[in-house]
Amino acid sequence: MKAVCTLLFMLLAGVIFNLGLGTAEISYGEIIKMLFNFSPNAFTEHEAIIFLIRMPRIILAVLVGGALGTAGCVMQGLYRNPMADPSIIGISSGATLGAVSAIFFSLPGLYTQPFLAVTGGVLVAFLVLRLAVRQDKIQMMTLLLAGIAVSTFLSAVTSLMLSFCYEYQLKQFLFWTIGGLDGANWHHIHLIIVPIISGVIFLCFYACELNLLNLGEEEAQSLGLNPTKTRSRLLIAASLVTALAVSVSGTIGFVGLIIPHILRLLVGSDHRLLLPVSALGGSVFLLYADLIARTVFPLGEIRVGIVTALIGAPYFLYLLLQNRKGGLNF
Amino acid sequence: EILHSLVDKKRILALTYLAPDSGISNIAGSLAGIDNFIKADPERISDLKPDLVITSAFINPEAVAVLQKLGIPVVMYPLSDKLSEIYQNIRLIAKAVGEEARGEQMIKAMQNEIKQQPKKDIACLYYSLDGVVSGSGTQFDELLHLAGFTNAAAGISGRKSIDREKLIELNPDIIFVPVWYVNKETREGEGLVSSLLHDPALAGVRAIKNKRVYPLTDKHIICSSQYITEGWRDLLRFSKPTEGRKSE
Repeated sequence: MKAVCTLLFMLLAGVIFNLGLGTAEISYGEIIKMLFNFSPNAFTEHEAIIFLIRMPRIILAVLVGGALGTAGCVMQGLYRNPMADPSIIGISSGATLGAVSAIFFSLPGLYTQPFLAVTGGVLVAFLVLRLAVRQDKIQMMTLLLAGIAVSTFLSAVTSLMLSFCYEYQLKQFLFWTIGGLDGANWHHIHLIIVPIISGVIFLCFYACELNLLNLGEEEAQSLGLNPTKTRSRLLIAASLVTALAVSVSGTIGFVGLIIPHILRLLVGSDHRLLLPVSALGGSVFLLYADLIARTVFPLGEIRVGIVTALIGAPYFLYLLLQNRKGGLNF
Repeated sequence: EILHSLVDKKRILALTYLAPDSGISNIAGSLAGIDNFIKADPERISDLKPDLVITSAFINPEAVAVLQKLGIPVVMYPLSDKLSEIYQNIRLIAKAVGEEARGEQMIKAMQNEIKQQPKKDIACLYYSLDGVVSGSGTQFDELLHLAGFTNAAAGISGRKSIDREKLIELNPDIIFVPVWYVNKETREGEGLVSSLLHDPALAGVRAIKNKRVYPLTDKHIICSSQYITEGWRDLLRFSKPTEGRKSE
């Protein structure tokens, strides 16, 4: 309970900081006035910044962070490995290839890139799952290795397309490889808010099943669970939620990896608490990472994927060292 | 580009592999008679047995060192971000190839064309796909001032990336968008013009409200040769309000 309250407080503080801080200096007094007294038909300069740039960006950070945190928790639960990550079965590579295809072939339409990104991510998840199912059981090691192989193959195909891209297309591609929230707008929110919230709630409802799966295959079966069916549903749902996040933000690494792991140390391994807390934690982490990305340099910004990698990669190395010493408990 | 105008093509054994790319090269259409377009590969270069290699300062220094060890003279010209630096590079290359007189003629022609225009109260901004603007001290800044415009990014030093909040604050009258390829029918450059015009967050920016967002052929503007005069002519089109809009 304490953890949930702390995270909610941090989330609220993060929203307030992100609203008030940025390149343009807008006081909190002005923001409060704006919230109670604005006309959507004629934004002033500062109103445009608050309502059309900062607000959608904050909401997107909460949605994407929550999606990646939840999906990461599910992946770590399914693999029973704290170093698992939503991109481990190639979802991010599939989503990236979908988006790059839209860029490469100059396909028109506001929603074409996000749609192809989601399609690419989910198709890869289905493919890898299909490869890993044998005698009605999911071979987790096969799932992992198939994910790596498919991911590598798709990355190669993406690189091949890039070899023939124009320079301006390469710049668009950069958005997908190092994720960011700088282009966030209300269209993105409309696109993903319902599916992501639905997906996260769906995954949270499977918390008990995840706990049972952690007891082991036979134990879970003896308690009335169909492990293969449950794992498949969870993998597909986690893949969909991840692909949705990638479709609007590009590949933001380490959120799904480090947030569930840190929170597991604080709240324990019971997924009934860990899943919703991972969603909250992912949102908080991405909110503050985006604040750093937007404000660390005076004029411009760096991509939030760089910030999460700078924080996440050292922590990942720490996990590896702990694992070598035999100190990682799951 | 400088060398191509200074000497007879028979004297040119090879040019950079980028020369035939019409998106970034101002001489892509006039390379008949030059057979080799290569990368900075010392092995390939030495195979051609040149008397002189002319290269820029951002070439791999190890490649230059290898060429010098092979006894091939190398002339390196520094990067330029001012007209005066372009003139210096023309003189440097002209001297290296023994065409000083032609070099001076080239410079004089440029100076006769690029002259201070009457001042206009129009703030322009150079804004690229990744949000990079050309602030004070850049070549584009210099050209804008000579054309009589003010640079909306004058408060920013050099070429820097800005976010949309800063773009709203700068509020330019005209936004120039550098592109490699401009669609002659739609005047669209690689989607950036329409993405700016349709971004609801930027609707209040003067240039976007008045639809004064124009693609500029980047090879004319980010140019270190005499072809900067093409960029100059591109800018001058917009200094005459009616004619600038005719080209939209």
